[in-house]
Amino acid sequence: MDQSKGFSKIRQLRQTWISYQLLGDCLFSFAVAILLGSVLYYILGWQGWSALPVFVLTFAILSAIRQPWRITKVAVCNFLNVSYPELEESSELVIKPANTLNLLERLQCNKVEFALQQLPDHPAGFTKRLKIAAILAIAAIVLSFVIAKIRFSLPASSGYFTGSSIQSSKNAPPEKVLPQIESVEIKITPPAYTGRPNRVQDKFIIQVEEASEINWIIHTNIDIKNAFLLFNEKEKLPLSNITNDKKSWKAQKIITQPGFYQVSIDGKLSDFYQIQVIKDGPPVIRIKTPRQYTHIDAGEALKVNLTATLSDDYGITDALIYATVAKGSGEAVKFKEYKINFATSFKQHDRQYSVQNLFNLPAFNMEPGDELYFYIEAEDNHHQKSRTDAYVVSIQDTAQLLSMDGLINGSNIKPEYFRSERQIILETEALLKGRDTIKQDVFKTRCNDLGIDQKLLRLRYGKFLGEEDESGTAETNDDLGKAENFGNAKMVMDAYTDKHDNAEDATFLEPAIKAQLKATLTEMWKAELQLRMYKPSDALPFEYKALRLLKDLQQKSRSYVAKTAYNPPPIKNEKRLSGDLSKISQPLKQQDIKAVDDGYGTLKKSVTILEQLKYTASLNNSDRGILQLAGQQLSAKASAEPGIYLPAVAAMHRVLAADKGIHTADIVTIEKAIQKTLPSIGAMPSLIQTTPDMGLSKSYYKYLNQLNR
Amino acid sequence: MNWTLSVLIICVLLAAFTTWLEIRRANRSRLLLRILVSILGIAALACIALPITYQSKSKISDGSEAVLLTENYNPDSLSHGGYKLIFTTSSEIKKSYPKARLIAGMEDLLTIRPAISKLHILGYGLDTDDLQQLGNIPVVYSSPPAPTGILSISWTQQLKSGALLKVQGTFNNTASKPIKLLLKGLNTQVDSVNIPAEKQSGFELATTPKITGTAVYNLLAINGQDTIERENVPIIIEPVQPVSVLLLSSSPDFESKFLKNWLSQNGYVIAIRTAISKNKISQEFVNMQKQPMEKLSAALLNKFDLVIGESSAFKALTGSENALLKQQVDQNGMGIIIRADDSSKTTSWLQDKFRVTTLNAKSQVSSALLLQNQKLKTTALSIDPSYISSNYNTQNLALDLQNHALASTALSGCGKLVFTTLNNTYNWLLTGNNKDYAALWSLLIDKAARRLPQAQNLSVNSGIAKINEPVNVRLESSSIPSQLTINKATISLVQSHFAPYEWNFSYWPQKFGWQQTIIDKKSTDLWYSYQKNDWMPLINYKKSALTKKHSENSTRSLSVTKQIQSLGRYDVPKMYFYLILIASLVFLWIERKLSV
Repeated sequence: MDQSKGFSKIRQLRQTWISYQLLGDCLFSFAVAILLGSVLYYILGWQGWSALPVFVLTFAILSAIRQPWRITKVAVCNFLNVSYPELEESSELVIKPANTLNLLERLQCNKVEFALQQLPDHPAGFTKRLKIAAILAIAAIVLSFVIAKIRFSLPASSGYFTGSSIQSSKNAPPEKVLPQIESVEIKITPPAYTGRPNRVQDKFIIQVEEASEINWIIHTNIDIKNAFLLFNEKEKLPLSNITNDKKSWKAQKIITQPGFYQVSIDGKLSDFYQIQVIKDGPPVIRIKTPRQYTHIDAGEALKVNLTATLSDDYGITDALIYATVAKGSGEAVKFKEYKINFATSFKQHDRQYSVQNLFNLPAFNMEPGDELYFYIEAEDNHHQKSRTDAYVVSIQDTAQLLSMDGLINGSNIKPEYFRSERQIILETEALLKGRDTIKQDVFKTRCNDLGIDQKLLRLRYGKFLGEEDESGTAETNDDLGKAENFGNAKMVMDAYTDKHDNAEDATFLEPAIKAQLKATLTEMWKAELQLRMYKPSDALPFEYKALRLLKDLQQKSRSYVAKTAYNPPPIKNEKRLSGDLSKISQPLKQQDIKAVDDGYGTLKKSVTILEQLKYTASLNNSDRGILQLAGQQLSAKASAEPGIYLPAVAAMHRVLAADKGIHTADIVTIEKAIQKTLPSIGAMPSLIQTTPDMGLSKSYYKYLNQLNR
Repeated sequence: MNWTLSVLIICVLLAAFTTWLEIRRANRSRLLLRILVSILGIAALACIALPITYQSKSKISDGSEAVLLTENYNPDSLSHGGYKLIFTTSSEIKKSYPKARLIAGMEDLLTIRPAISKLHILGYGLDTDDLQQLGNIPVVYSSPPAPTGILSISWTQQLKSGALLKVQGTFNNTASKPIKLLLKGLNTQVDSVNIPAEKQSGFELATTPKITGTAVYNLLAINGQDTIERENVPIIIEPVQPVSVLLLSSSPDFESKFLKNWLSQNGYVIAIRTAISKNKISQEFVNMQKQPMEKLSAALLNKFDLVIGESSAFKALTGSENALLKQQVDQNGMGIIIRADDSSKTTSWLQDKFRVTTLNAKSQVSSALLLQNQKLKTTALSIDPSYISSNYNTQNLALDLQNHALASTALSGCGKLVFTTLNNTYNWLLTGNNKDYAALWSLLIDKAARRLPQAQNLSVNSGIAKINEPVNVRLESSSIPSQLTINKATISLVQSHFAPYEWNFSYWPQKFGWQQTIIDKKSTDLWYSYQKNDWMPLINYKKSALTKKHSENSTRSLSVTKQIQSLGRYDVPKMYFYLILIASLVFLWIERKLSV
């Protein structure tokens, strides 16, 4: 019996320990869950219940690691031995079966039995972890409060759906609310396309997406008879009673226009609350490549890569490429339209997409000389569409470049060497074609010959530009060496200086043409380089480019002036202005035109009244009338731009309501708004007044005149 | 009745009465002595009641040097002077420097014995009135450094609507940071300028007020976050007074047509006479009754302030019309704007002041214009390359970018002539540039148009008018003003000795802000009085300069005349008269006791 007593004590202690351990883990998990949950809820904007899985998970992990149920009686005994010296390191004797004990052990066991009974039911060591966990839990709760507080001061960048606008409205200064109002709940239901969740706020100032539905629920602290919302000082929206005690009222409205509103309770109007509307912008499309006009030269790949970014406030639903291929020229031009889908899927309705498309021009049956026009159209989830400018891709028409049409029929045929570039191209192509059939040496020689041709051609054009002759160094200055020319400065100068100011050179070509000619020469240089390196295929694009530039030059230098054949007969002076005008009446007109009133007269007058108010602080009736009219003008402005004009409207109401003690700050606010509203005026001629002098200066002038005579 | 006279009459009556009493007394011993003594006593009584002064000369070299402390004096400069006489008029300085003697005004310094031989003034000094009161006392003054703030200021108080408000002045920045000057209109910043650190520099701020009526703009000096000076800039913006214009045109053209349309849209009075064929004219009247215009008459011209026409149109006028026009301009002050439409040389009186040089270039050149009194240049206008040569008696109104004059003005008698070679300014209107068009033509018309004589003009003479200080106001009037009231108080006027149309008065404004002045119960004028602490740096700077000038003058006169004695009036001490009175009363009392 005694043995079982000690045994049961050990068993009981084990259970206590296990339960304390579990409780400790539980508290620890709670602390972690509270901390993580508040971080998720306040900062990342997750739902509040997300803390629950955190708790379960943490608890499970902890339990799995520690396994408190695995605590054995032996472990309990070990713990007791360490903690309590009176057990004399022999508490485990109690749990041993009595019959296995020897005499000594039995004696010791009896002693221990007794000591065991003296032990407390909840030894201090058991609760150690529980205490730590409890401290942690308290710390976690405090921390979560801190997070809840600091979240307001965080920049509103975190998370899209919380949105900066909503955050900023929370930062606004406290609103002035009618004393009858206990609280207000405003539920904002943004339109579906925005994909934003409903939100509830306890402030009157509203900032919403266009076409949002707003539900006001106003709780009052006393029974009231009637209440309504007054929008833009015009439109009334009655509040209806929800409960029978006349303390809860509601109203509903879909907001599409910015403006302001007031709450009226039993005929008393509140302060002004502004309504700001966030409009949905159309999608924005930015095309990165290609450029607006892309020209594919002969020899270049017939491929165009289109990359673009599409972005929108809420989401993009669709985007398409509208491509048109123009074939042929002149009267025979034919158009064919294509609608091309992007490879990207827009089902996600994301806010931003990067899209790309590779135009394989031969796939559109495009040949040299054809052009591709395309634009991108994107649609957002509010069914707003936007499209880009048309982009043009054209392929170089080599056939036309090589044609002789313009040259043969042209009125002004240029000298022969203007066509040599074309010959070089033809020969290069012929050389490329016959490359496989001719010997390496012959190929190289012909290639080099072509390079020489190209060089000669370049030098010829270079002369137009006034470039120095490359072979000009061989000039002899024999005359200079003669004795009689010694010290002839002019002759020396003549021999060693360049005459850049030669009038003929300077006016030979226009600067624009000169620049283009220079570009042509550069292309020829590059072509020659490739030819000299026996790479005629690489030289070909440069040759084409040079030819194209030359052709352009040719077209530019054409001009046509028609001859006029009409020679008017000489005028007979005696006949001029001698017609009979007696029957022609003289026109006479009289009209009265009043200057147009700019409609700002009241506002201008009200400035003078406000100015006077700073000194006198009392209003007479006519001034009050003018201020009231000015207030109406301002409130009309405020309904369009509440953010700017609403404070002034409120200030004007305060000024008009106050009999005495008008605040200068209110006048300042109104004056600022008026200055913003008034248009700037330009100078108009005006009579200038002179100071009165009782005719003194006039008589002075009179006598001066008499003296001069 | 004044005090002296009433005292004398009472004393004479009293003397007669006592004499009669003495004569009537039964005991007639020592009669003559008694009468004399009682008269002497009454005379002493009169002398006590009346201020008795005497004139005396005192040597200046006897006197000592004195110091007068004014605002912003440096206490260090007192420590090594060893001065015994230290005065001040300000109770605040008395508090900070208790040794100083507080005096009511400068005249107190004159009565000090021995006379002050030299007065050192420390601080910003005294204003004109106080300096005048100092009289002949030689003054030694070295001005302290100029105060931080606005040292001079100027702006046009009365503007026409649409005119530019220019605020110009000098600012002394003693701070180590640049100071920002802001001009605020209707509490909105309209212009600003930076004054570099530790520098005194001029500034100009400009804006076009959008309102009409009275307004008080503000001029703020801001150093970082602190506003170091805030001043009021009161302005009166008057509505534009339309000009009546007669347009003469030798042929229908766009320039005249657009000018007519522009002016008539703004409610101006216009008549236009256009020659459309030989002896045929087209007439048009806007905002006025039909008039016969075939021939210019004095009656017709009297109705207009300005005639605008092409030089060919003026050339086509008959000799009598021309003479009439000249008379109207020279004697009645009408204005003429001549648009040069041909470069042919004429000897007309209209053009002989303006010489035109036409460049040989065939085509028009495109150039922006610089208008008088405008900082910004206009947008480009294609102009004929005809330029007006500058002359000593012309004033250029519009220049191109190469400083060629395109419009100038010259006086002709009472009136003004404006000559311009610009003939296609309507291009501005065609391109929608109303601003430049309005600026150019406003300038030309303003310059040329007849001046309207004002009935009354009120101006504050004494610089900055402040509350609780005397303000000298000048009224110029075309008729003798019968009554003038300011804030419902009637004011008496003093006519000027020199100009018959000028009256002066002085007024002590009691409230700050606009002072409403009503002349002859009908016309109202406004002027502004500032608060006590407004424009302090400017006033102190001015005081300092005035005191400096005064000290230079006073020491110069001292060195020239070597004045060693100064003449002054001094009070006879009353004590003597009291003694005489008591002595005579005692005599009369004892005499009575003795005789009984």
